[in-house]
Amino acid sequence: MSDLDIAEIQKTNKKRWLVYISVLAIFLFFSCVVALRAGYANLSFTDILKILFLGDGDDTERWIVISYRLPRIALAGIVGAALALAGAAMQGIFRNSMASPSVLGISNGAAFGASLSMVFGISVISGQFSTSAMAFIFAFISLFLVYSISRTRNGYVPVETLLLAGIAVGALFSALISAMQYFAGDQLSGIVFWLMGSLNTSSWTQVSIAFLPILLGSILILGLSRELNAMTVGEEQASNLGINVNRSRLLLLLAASLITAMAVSMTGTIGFVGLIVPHIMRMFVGPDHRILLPASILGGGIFLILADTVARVIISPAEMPVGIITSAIGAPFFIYLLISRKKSMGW
Amino acid sequence: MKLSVHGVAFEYGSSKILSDISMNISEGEIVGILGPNGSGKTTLLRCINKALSPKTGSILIGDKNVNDMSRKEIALNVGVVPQSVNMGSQFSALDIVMMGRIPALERFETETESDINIVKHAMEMTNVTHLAKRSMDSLSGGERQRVIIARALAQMPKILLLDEPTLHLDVNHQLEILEMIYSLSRSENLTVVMVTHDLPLAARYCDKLILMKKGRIQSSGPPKVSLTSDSMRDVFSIDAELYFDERIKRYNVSMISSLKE
Repeated sequence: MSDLDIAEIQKTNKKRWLVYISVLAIFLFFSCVVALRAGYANLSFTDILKILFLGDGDDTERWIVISYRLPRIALAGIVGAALALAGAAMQGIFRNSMASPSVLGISNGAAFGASLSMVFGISVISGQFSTSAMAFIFAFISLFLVYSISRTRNGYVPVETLLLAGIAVGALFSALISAMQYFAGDQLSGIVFWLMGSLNTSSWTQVSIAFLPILLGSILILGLSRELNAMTVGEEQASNLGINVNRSRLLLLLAASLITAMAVSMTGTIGFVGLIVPHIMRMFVGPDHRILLPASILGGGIFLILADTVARVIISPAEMPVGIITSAIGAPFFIYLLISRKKSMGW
Repeated sequence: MKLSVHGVAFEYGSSKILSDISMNISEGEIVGILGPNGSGKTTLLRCINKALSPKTGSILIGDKNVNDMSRKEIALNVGVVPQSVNMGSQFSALDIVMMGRIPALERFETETESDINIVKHAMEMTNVTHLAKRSMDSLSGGERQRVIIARALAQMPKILLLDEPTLHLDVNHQLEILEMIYSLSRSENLTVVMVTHDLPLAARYCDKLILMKKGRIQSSGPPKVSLTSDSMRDVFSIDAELYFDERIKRYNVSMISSLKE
């Protein structure tokens, strides 16, 4: 039997993590470049560099790059990262790789809260965070509902119950949103477009509102990656390892709701990002949340920036809501997951 | 580190699982908890570890009541090897053993060289070094069990709680693991409490035995005192005999027949 050197394995693993992060960072950079280039106005990469750093170009070109494409890319990156991280955290909390903000109906909850504020002006606070605050409250309520419904007494969350609870809670909030649309009248078309999930109203103001709460939520989740690792092995075992499981879980649920809600209140419900990205990342980087979470952040950013670029150019000069693109990729992927799960269980 | 249990009672709904359990375990002692299924052995172990909170009574780890200790504080002193190791996981065996260092690490702190050495040593003791890179999914029940024992040892506990540690193990690994735990308890003064069904192994390695039936302690003390033919008949409904085995220089049990109740 070959004698493996533990210290050596540990060192190689850490090196590999660095490689993953570097590769993803490079991908992210190139996604931004592609996204900056793509669009109706034909601008070369050198044109864009000149506009960005030398202030070249006419007013229209400057407006397109600095006030239109750039904030849009930034928002896509932030929202994609937030949704993917929330998905990765939820998959850890539920010990179930099918969990994600949209599958579990959390996005619908957040959308309902945000609609309440947008249509009826109902919110717990006023000011620029009023919509996000309502989205957060309802995201947390729906996550908590799904969690309480699906969790069995010994802490295990069966996948069937989880998905059904997500469908039920998601359907409840989507019915409430429909009811609201029915009564909303004039504002209807605005809500509909927003519910499909779109980045076409992106602005630097939105970026500045979303950035800080998402950053805080993300730091909180990243700080709990070791807890997540132990909790995916088993809650009682995590607790044997000195982890306050209830407190960690509550913090994670709060943080995941917060970043989902911020994302949804900026762009509407963009589905499946939180399902696909952590899944693909797990295939490459493995189950350790200390690398899986940062990888999901970068991967989520890349995914949504590219998806939004496709949404902008596919029926150019018109635009498609990006939520349609992500669902078009996500739904088949979800079906593929179900099928491969079925095979692995020998049905 | 010593461990004491005073008048512990536990109820699950309306059914009494434990009533009036008291025991004192000294530092470096190996104590076996024996009894038929449903006698409350595992519940007692989980109460000691604060996974369950008893209705009455108190549990002291060292001189401190478990209720006054944080999870982290308990994990720095008590290592636990739970019963079910059927958990599949994509984590490698090394990742799992490394988790034993969680209680000793601060948030965002990475494992130091000394942590890695502790893990390495724990894996050598349980003979799982060669499995380091394999995922837990791909290991057999016995291999997983040894990885979990390594993780508990990597916590550098002063008290080790084991729930049927030999259940999934090959016969040679059963002896190997218990021999290792025995020598750890002698050399490091490790206090060990283990739940087991294996009477011969319990008689052979434990300093003290506690026989439980229907949530009560039926007899306790060194094997010679607690594991008499009478007590075995009473608790397990078997005809059996404890004897000193000259070949191994320890106690052994020979089970003669099962008695119909």
